[in-house]
Amino acid sequence: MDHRTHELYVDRAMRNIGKTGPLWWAIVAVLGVCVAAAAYAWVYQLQRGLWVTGLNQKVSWGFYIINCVFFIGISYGGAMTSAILRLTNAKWRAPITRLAEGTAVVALLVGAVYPLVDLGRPDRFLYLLQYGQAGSPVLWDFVAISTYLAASIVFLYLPLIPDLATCRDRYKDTARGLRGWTYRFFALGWTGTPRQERALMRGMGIMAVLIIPLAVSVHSVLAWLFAVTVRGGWHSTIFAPLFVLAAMLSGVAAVILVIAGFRRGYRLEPFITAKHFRYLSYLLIALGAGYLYFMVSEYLTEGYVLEAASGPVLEALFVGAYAAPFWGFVIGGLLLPLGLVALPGRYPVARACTASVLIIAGMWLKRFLIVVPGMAEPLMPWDWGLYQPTWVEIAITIGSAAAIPLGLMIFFFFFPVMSVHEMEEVEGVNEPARPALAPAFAGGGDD
Amino acid sequence: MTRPKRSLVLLAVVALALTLASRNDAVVRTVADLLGPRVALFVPARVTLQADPGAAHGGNAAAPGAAAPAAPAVSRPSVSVPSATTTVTVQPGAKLEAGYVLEAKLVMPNGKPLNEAVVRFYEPVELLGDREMLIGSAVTDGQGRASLAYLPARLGGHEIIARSAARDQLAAAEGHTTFEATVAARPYRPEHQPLSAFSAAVPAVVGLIVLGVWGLIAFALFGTARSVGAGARVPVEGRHAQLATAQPRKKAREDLA
Amino acid sequence: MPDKVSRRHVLAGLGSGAVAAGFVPIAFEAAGASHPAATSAQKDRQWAMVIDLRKCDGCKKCTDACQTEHELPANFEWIKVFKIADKQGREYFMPRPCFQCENAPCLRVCPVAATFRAQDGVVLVDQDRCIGCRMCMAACPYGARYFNYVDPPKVDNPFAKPATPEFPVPQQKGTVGKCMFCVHRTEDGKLPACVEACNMLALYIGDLVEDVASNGEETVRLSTFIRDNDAFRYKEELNTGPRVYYIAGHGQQLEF
Repeated sequence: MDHRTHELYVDRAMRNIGKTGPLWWAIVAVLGVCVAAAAYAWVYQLQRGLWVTGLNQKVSWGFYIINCVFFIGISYGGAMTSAILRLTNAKWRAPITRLAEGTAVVALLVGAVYPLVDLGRPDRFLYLLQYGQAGSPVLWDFVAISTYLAASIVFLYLPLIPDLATCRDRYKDTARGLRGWTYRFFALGWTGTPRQERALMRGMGIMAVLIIPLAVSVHSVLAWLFAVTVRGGWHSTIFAPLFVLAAMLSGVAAVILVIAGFRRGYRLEPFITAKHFRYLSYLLIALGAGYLYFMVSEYLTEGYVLEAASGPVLEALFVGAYAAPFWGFVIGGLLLPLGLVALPGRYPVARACTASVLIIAGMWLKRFLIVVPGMAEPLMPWDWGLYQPTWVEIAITIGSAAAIPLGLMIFFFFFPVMSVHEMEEVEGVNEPARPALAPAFAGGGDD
Repeated sequence: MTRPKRSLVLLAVVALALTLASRNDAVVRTVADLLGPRVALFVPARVTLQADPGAAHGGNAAAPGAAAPAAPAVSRPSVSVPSATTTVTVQPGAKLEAGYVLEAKLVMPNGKPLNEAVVRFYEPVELLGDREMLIGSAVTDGQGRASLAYLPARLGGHEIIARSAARDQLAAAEGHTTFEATVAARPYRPEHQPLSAFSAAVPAVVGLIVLGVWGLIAFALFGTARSVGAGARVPVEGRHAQLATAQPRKKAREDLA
Repeated sequence: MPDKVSRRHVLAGLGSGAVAAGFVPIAFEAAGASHPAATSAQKDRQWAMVIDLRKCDGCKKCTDACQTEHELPANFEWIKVFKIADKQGREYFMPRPCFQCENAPCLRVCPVAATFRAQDGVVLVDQDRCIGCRMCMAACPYGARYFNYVDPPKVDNPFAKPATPEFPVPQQKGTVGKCMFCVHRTEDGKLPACVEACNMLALYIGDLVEDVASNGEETVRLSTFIRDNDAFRYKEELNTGPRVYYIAGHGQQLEF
């Protein structure tokens, strides 16, 4: 990378720090209103109890559990793009890792709040620590999510250290008060010595390797929340891998949307190029194909036998009350977007973004189709349950979805939107010429 | 006498003694008490109650050594109607696991056995109040005997009541007995829970793994922070300072140590 | 992978990462057995029920009695009477209390051991500990648990005792409740509310240890009663070990 490009990169990465504008405020205002509405709805619910939702005795889990799974799935973009691409030495990851890791942390924070929203007695939340039972999937969730959150925050923070040092030095005079102190404190006195570099690389290596099984574990325990019961459509051995793959799919789709948005808003086009969208689309196709395979395997196995428990749910999904959303998901949320990005053609960015929107919407719908028919299916000789979500649940859902871009925008008000250090690392700027461990054909070259 | 012949005679004497002893209840009961309840399977519990002949109320208990519960009064119409005498016995069943045989013998006041009468056997129990549990029913045969197999649910003392309904010219009859059960049904066992050993060990193992993971995260964070912080005190000007000033870097690679 | 991270570190990371992939938390308190709340006074009993479907006429007096006894709202049917139509279209009724399963799924999944088994085999809920996650409701294959979305209707009772798991009256909002075989009544030597209220004498309360069951008037030997009438347990193939036996029937012993 020549010097000019390097400077341009640093400039673009840093230029939005501390800066706002009318468009920025407009977007933040809209998102803020959504988040405020969600907060109001939650307080409303805390005062009155869970009867303000559409939950009832038959369908006792609804939007909140769906959203918990969904938003934690969104956070998998960080593990996928940042960690896996790092371990495979894919050089094209450099401009997008910060955005991906930031999305992961924000989405995880949003998703991790949902079990609290769903509790009947949230004031007793800490009983999980006092009286936690090792055999309960709810406790597995609690431990897995909190560990994954800690790991994600560390995984975001470590590569941020050199950039914080840059900010510290660059804004020595302009940033006073809290911002300046934040830079100084969290930069830990980074000056870029080789020894510090080595320490940082070691820490990042550990986290990159650790965060992948952690991510797998989180969605596996979320799947086991359902799979260890005997309800139809839930008691399936493939649930854990299915959930993990679904999370990765929705995570990569979310990363595509996030980098598209910030690329446009922060003028990152020189560095986040069509190539990124094409490569991420390949990831989408691979993950989507794998997810389709798992789905086919599950439905074939269950549908061939149509046992007493799972038969009615399958019938409802394929031809019954839930047929419209189900086929909408399969066609509109999987086949169509995957076809859209699989076929060669122009407009890779637009196509990737459209496909991502469809995939994310489809993934939410799929979580809905897992939770609600499973709960509504009669276990006893009574009718199917009905679930009609109220404004409280809808407001909280919309608000939490808005909280992700809002959180990201606030985050990137303080911190660089692209990782300078990562770029330098892949470009080999600050290291002596040493052969990379991965050969060029494994992603070493760039175009 | 030769030696083999002597042993044979001895064996015969011992066998005879045992046979005679087993016919003596007192001896056998003593042995049973010494050896414990399970061995006493072989001991018949024979507690017979003789009815008081001519009593209109039916039999009452007069077991050797056992207290006799009074027969409940049967309300009768003004015309004095006799009822059959009921004798209840409890004997061990043919097979060990069959427990006991409850036998009720009904004899009419004229001395003839009462046949084709339905006899119901009850046992007083305490289940949320004092109640009488119906063990079963049997029909008397030509000798006036009705028998029912009974394997009690628990060891210890049991009371058996036999009742027959009123029939033409006979009032309802009742007989009691008590016996000590030395055979009982297998005690209740809850459902088998397989893999319970695993469920105990797995949380501990995985808990250790979780601790290990948190330890690694802490090491990645604080170890790096410490090393970075330590490195800062080394007064080597890193490449980083040049980045901050956004000036063209001339000797990028020379600064590497 | 740039070799700034030594192979040793990679292996260490991979090793611990791979090992962290099997993920379950640290064991805290052991579930069930040592719960601080009191257990039933009848220590040598193992409660069970037998329901004679030949006699049930669907009058729901059992449900009403239970709701009155525990001050429950109208949609809380701890013993619920199902109306089932057979293939010929004839209807019969099946009351379903909580089955107090010996291998209860609800017990396994509770994250705070709010659901526990008393020594007499009855599964109780400690509403002072329940956090309202409703995982037990998802896990119960019989739909026998009910979540208090609202406060129960207020009943003015000057003799009201404080709520315990044996007698969770009044119910707490935000927690889960269910049938507990009226252990608060059996402690006092009284029949459960539903058994006492059933006019058809179709509900029997029994003890598996002493092998006896009673519907208030008739007392039978439990094991013989079950065997002679080919009693079954609902969804027995799930291996939950329910303690409620049904004598198969379609109301054929009703006197009409």
